[in-house]
Amino acid sequence: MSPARARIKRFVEDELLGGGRLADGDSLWEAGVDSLGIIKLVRFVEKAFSLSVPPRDVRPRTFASIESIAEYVERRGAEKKR
Amino acid sequence: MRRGRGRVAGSPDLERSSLRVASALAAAGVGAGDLVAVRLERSAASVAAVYGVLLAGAGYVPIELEAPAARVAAILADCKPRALLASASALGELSLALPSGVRPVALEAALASPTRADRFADARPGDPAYVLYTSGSTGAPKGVVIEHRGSLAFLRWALKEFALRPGDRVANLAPLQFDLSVFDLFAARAAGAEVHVVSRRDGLFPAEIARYLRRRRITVFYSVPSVLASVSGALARARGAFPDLRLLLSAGEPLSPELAAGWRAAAPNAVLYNLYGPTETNVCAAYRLPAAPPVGAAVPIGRAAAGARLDVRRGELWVSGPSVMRGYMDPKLDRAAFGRSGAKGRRFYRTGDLVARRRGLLYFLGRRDGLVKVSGRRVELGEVEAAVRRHPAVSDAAVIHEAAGLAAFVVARGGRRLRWADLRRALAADLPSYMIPARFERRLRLPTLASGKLDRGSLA
Repeated sequence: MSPARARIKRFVEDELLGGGRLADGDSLWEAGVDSLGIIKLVRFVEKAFSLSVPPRDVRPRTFASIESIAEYVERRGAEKKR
Repeated sequence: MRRGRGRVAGSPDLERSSLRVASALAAAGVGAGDLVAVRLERSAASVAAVYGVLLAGAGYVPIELEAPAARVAAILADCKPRALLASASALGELSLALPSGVRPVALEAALASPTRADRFADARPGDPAYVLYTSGSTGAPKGVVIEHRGSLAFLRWALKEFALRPGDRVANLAPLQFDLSVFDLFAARAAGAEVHVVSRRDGLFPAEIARYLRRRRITVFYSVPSVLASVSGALARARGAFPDLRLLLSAGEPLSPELAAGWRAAAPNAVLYNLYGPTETNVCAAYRLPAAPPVGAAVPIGRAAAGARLDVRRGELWVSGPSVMRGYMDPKLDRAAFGRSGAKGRRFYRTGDLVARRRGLLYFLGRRDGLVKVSGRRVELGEVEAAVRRHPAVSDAAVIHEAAGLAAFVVARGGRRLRWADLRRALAADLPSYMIPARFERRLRLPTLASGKLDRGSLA
């Protein structure tokens, strides 16, 4: 597991799901994450990975699962290095 | 509430669906004056389910999907509904927690049930139309009982004031437990308008909400300032983004002049209203924003609406009138909530909101107590504090509301190991996620005022 994915997983499970477990590909909203949870998640991603996430990137496709967020973070990280 | 023939987009056989749900509930023993708890994903089907509960003569008690099992159990024990309407899979998970006397009814089965031929018993004006649970300062959620006549007083006023009409397309984003949805679901229906239910998934993403409003060419939108700000903030180009919107209603939090100006630019054809009213009174004050850009520090909450009488007593707003709740589900809470005033001893609901009147208009100034709004949802700081204190490793706690969300200041119990992750997990079992503090800080003791009361101000 990539380090980014592990950090996102820990945040989602501990902070948003109160210790519940979630597989990497599982849907966040089906697991009960609400709109405030999405806001917390965006703030976490920005702080933890030193990214600025524009509102247009906060979409169901990007923030669907732990996996999709990790892919987004890795893609943005790669863009920054270039 | 059953007048009109409004439609719900995505539900072509709405009338039949609600009739089927009503029939299934009647078969489960539900009748006029009863309550039915409803725990459903927001969708066209959940709207049909709510109409079905009312058609059966009962009142509905919405329970949020995100509510942990302990909270669901507390609500069911408090209001003792005749039935719980939920999806078959959710019922499977909840069945252990279901108190005796509450009949589980699966929505899937109800929607396929045979329709009853004879008439349903009509609810009386004094029967509950719905019971909405809000955060309670003593540590348990409290149920606000709204009767049919109270809800109708608001709806009749809204229909007239906003001139809702058959061509309107009304978005429903507010969940059922939030009384904004009462307008979406019932005013639209009575006016013969069309309700467009924003799915829970789309509702999580401001950019999706914006896209939905545009694509469905929504004409009427009712929401809270924090959502309105996130939606307009998600637009690449705000100016003229919502040309179809003709009516924008804001309630639940103070509306800033900047936000109002931003939406005026985004929705140039819309009339803007700032509405005010705790769940206990429904909307009781309204202000129609003039065409000129708003000036000053705050948008007023305006003047009395829906037949309400508003008194300002020592700075606090007192409300009486037809739309005020019957009382709380637990009558012990009523004593502190109501006050009597005037020669006839009229009953007023004491809002706890501090207001000022300037040139005939009311302005919201703040709260008397520990009630705050997190994303437009009511949170009693006392309820969160009580939950934090229940943890065995905690001896005392104070919770404040800061820009980034709720912050908890915790005094650990001597000799116990206190880990934030454990505390968070324990809170998640008791509280909905929006009530869980975003930040925790350890303190050796909590600051107090000379009176011995907690000094929240010095924690901020």
